[in-house]
Amino acid sequence: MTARSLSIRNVTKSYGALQNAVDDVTLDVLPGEFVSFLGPSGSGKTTTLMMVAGFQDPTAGEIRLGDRVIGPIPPYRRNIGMVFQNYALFPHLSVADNIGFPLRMRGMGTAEKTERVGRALDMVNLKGFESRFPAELSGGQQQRVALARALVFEPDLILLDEPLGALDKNLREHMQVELKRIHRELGVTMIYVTHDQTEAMTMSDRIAVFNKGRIEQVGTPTDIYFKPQTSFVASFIGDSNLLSGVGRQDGGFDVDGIGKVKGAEAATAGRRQPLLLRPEMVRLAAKPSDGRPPMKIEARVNYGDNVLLIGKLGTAPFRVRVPGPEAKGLSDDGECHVTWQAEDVHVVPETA
Amino acid sequence: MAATRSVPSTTSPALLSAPVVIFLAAVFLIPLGYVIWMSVSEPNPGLGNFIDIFRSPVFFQVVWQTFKTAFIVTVCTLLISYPLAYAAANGSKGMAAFLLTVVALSFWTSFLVRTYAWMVILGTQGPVSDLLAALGWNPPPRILFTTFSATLAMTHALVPFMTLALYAVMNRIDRRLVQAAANLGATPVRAFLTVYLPLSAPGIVNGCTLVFIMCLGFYVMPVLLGSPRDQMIAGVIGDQIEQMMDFGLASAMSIVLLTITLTLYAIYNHFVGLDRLWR
Amino acid sequence: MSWQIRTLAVAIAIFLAAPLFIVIPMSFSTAQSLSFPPPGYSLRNYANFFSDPTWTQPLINSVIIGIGTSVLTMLLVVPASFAVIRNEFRGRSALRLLLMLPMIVPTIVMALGYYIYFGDLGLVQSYPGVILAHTCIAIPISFLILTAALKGFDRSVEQAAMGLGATPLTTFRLVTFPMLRPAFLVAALFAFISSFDEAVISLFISGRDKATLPRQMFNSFRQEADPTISAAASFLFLLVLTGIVISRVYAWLRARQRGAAVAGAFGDKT
Repeated sequence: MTARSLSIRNVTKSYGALQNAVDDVTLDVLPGEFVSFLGPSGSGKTTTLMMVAGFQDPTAGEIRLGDRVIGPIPPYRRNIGMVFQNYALFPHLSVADNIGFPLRMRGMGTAEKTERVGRALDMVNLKGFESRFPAELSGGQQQRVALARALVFEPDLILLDEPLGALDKNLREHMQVELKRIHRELGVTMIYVTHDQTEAMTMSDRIAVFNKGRIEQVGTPTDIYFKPQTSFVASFIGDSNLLSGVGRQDGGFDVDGIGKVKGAEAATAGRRQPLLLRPEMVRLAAKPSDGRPPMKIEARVNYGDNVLLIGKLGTAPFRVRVPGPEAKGLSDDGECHVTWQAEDVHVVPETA
Repeated sequence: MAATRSVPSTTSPALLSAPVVIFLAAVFLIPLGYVIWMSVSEPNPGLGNFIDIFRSPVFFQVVWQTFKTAFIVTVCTLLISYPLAYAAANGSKGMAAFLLTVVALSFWTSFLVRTYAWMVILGTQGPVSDLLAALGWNPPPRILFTTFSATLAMTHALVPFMTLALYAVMNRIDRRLVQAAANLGATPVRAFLTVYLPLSAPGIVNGCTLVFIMCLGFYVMPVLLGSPRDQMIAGVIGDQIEQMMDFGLASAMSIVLLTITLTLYAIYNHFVGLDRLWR
Repeated sequence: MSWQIRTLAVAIAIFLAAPLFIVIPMSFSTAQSLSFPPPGYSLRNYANFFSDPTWTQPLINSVIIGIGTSVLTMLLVVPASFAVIRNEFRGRSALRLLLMLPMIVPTIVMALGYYIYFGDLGLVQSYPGVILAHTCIAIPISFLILTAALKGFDRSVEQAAMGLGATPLTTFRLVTFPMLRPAFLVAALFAFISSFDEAVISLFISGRDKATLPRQMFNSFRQEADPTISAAASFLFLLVLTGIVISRVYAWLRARQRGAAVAGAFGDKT
């Protein structure tokens, strides 16, 4: 299977209304990469996917698959595999006929078709299911048939539109592992739309974070998590403390009610920027450090292996996540001292 | 999501709907036009037919009779169908299946089969007469060819329509709402009256509208089972066509019937919307 | 649900069904009149129904006209329902209304119109005339059935087919049409039945040689007391009864087979 690159350049989808569904989106996906489109509902991720598949036309911009501009090519000639949210299996055809459908469209002979269908079923661990019908299958099995159908014809690119949304938690985690395995084995380029950040984080080579029709950031899960480029990304991914600080001459920040805070990146004097500090990067201290006030604890949530402390540091809402044993030492007066490393404070390159 | 490229929206809707539009224009609108035309041109041009109708006490009697019968049929149908639809919507799967099968059977049975059945049952040699005679009423009164027999037959025929209209709405009523009412202190009767009945109201409106309007235009059953002295309007129109051969008058009466029917639909459409009637 | 309501519902159901069943024993009656219970039993009425041309001809006419109506209705309504459901265009609601009109206008009014109009065209007492009129009556019902099915049709299967390489035409042929086939059949069946049962218009325009079965029955009611009518009535009723029983049994069997398969499917890991 030859994986191809996907190039989305300045693509916009407008319905004439006030805000564009997709607004000047640019993204380059490398061959064989697994990229997630992550974002809340209505952020434009599915619409973008639909434009790549050919079911919607961009109002502006260009999409290339490999070196071919695919805009004028109708969906049935794009050779792109797609897994829909509700699987879209043909209810009147057997599993074998469903999976064999794209091969039939390509004029393949019966013997070769049967062989390929068998291999596809094998790949998704559904050997022996050839003569079953979609209505007889469980959700997880239907999903795997949909996947087999999308890769049996060795497409250049596979699109997945929230394919695991309808499954329960255990099944979903199992399928995530399966999908990654198949991606590794086939080496095909995959685009995965989801609103579930855990899914995106665990499965992707890179994540494109969508918000209101635009891509806020594209990066590896690590980059997205530890170095978000906008406050939206910072707060959308994981748990976060977003402090607001004004830059000082010496490169640190003045944060209201807390005092001087140094970040991993240097400040610009006079510029107010959001500062991201992940709750799990904060540690409890026996005594105050750096002239910081104590944290006022308003609630404790016990997760067993860790404890989440919710409260305020100075005037800012603050959350701290400590391993269970460490929390045992907390006094009952509703206050504690906290400390962290400067390099764990990420300066978000935005003007707050 | 508006998928722009799917089949067969690629073919122009004008092309797809042209055949049926042309057909209806030729085979439906034109005959209708004939009727309208004849009402003001046969036997002489002008509104003579309408004047005759509106000056005739007999015609008003017929219209009144038609409305009265339709009203009674609607009320009776509602009272009979409501428990049926309720049991089908709220009962066990087996109960619902049984009831809906019976309703389906009744729905699909031809009007003529029903007419024959009622003729047997209500006739002078039928089981009802026998029963009445046995109870001491000898000779038993004539039941057939009365307004009563026609009303009974029409009610019996329209129950499936009302039931299905009610069921369609009742089936969507969340059962937990009545449970919530009970939890908040309502007795079963009060819960029904304050929660369930109002929620089923759209079904009642739909069903009554449908049944009432259908009954207005009924021909077969009133003619075959009803009293020749108390005719409904469709039967009178039929007479004018067959026996009197007075097409002008028949057309004028048809226009009156049509106007009444359309007005009722228009009222329904204004308050509810025509597409709700046939989901 | 209390037992009182359950009993009431069952009683009503019996009231609904029982009168209809009476036609069956009546059809075997030896009596000339409508006396019930029948004095004796014989197959004479059926023999007559299936051999006397006064009855067999109308039966054949009804079947021919019914099939003609069904075919013509489907040819007209199928493209129109696709147009209405899948496209937004000006005049869409006007089109819907036009297609519903035959259902709104009382049949007697149409009968009058056809009597004169078809009379002028020389279409009275002919198959085409009745077929055209019956098609008018059938259009609204079939349209409703088809649009309901189309509305609930999930188009992602069509998108999937196209994504897999099928052209729009192939998609319609291999995916859309097979999936809609049940709805198409029901619509065609309803068209057939509404024609087969239609009495009022047939009465006025089918004439004596092209008389439909309903017309024959209607006249029989009014004129002679021909006991063969009991066989006709019973025949029609048993047709409906058989159809309903078959469809229920079929649905029950399918559900059972489906349930067993799903249970089996959950036997393996996911």
